[in-house]
Amino acid sequence: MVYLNVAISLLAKTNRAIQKAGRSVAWILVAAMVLTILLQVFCRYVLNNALPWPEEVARAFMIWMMALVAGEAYREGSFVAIDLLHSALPERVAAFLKLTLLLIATLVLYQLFTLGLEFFQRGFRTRAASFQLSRAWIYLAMPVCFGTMLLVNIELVLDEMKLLFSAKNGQSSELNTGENNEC
Amino acid sequence: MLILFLPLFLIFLLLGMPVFFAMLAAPSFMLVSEGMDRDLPLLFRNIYNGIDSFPLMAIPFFMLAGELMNRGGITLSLVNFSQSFIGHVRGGLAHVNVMSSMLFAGMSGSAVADTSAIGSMMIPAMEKNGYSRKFAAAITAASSVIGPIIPPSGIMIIYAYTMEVSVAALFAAGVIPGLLVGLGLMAMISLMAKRYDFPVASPKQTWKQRAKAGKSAALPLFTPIIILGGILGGIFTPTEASAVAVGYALIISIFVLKTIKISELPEILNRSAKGSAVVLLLVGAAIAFKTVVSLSHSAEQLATWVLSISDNPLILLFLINILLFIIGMFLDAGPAIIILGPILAPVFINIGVDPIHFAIIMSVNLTVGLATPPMGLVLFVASSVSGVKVESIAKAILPFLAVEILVIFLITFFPVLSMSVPRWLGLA
Repeated sequence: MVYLNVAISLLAKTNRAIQKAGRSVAWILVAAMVLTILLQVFCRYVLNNALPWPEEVARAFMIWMMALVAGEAYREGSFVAIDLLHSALPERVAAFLKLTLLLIATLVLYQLFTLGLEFFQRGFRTRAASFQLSRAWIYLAMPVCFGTMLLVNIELVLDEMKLLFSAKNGQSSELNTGENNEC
Repeated sequence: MLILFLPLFLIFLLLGMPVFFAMLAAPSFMLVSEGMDRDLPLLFRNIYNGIDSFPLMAIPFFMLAGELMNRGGITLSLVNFSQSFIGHVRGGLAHVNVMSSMLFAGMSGSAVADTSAIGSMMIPAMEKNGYSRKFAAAITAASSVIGPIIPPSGIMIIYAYTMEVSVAALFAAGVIPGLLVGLGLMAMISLMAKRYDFPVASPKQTWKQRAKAGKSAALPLFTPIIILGGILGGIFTPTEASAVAVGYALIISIFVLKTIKISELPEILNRSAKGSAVVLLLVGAAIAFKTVVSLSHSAEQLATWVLSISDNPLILLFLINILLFIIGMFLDAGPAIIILGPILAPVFINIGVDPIHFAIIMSVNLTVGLATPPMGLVLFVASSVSGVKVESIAKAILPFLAVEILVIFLITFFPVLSMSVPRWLGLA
């Protein structure tokens, strides 16, 4: 249990730091996306001279924007799910079901993360169509996205395990949910 | 037996797995168990290709424009403008609520934004005017579904992208159904106003006073003209129009109305980044899911099964509306479109339903589902804005839901209602 608590608090700290860093860049990327597209509109309609690069650059900004905040969105529970069943089941069964679903999500995210890394490595063979940069640096957003989500997911798995353990040991699960929310 | 990914996907969903994971876990498990591991990278590549899209960029931009408009205090000017026209009739503020939603719908593409923007202002005002709080919350929730029906619309952008139809055509097709929902709700309010003796909001305004209210609402009201005029007139792509809407909203709220400080921008931009990250990942997963739908030939098998029930498109459309309505009770419109679009649309297009017509039926039906219990997202937002329990709002909303169901069937059986504007503009 002690190890579990240490692991959870370490992971929570790491995840918070990653999310803070992500937030501090993501808003700049959104602003850059808007400015890039406005520049495209200006050049096309006002100067009558369409630029070749804004679309591709804005798309790259968007993918990185998504990658940098996806972990936080996942941690805040913004991923839609039908969780009617969880409230209908007995607490222990619901916790066990949640843990199973989280473990499946771990598998999916791990798979996506490793495929993302391969994708990143292969990206060095191609260049962006409209600017001088290897595509790998755009593709890198995908393993970053799934990697940060994986870290959040592991934290959620450990949280759920802690909840199950403490329920087994007869401790009040309410107390643990409280702690859970704090991290 | 790759097709088994569909029931597996359903089981995952019902057990409470987030839609994003269910859409990837079910096909992956089946691919691995069928020894088709080499298709896993294809699945991944399609997630990336799904997200790396210029049309999809309109989603973060419209979200951001709505957020800026809402924070920038434009809701107040829209409400005042509506009130100057219809505040004097019986049930005035209820009518104002619906009319403001219709105007707001021309700038925002989201029912949730509409509920929180209009609700936080109108619910207290309606209560002060003598309405019950639960009625005020119910009409706010019911009218906010107009948000994604009148363009712009986040749901339609998602549909257009996953199903490869024209966003402009879909936007054009949503205009009349959106107005029908609004006018239908106002008709219901008029009926109820006589029976329950609803209050009048304000004395009748002179045209001079109306012009004054119009002047102060002119800047925000210009937004739908830029967006719709630009897209439907073929001047801008929807993504460009959405970026222009963001630029316009920024200028109005920071420099003209001075209601947003530059220091607040990072938080506002981050909120729209997070909101759109979830949608982008969902769309990416949907494109991957769609690949497996075609690999497994499940749409064809489903089509054979559907056609064994009946080959009359009218009967099938009736049945599909019931199915969509039930699904809409449990699932948000975006994910429902992402999951069901690739499976259902080909079946109906094959039996002769116009792709744009089917898209509108699906979008409007699932959007109304946002305001239906037990899992209507808009009901939860209306409840948190008003402090009224979801169950109470769910009861009070029933007469308005009846109107919306009527509109769903009208647009289903009279394709002209959705098809006339896109045809007139040469988009369909």
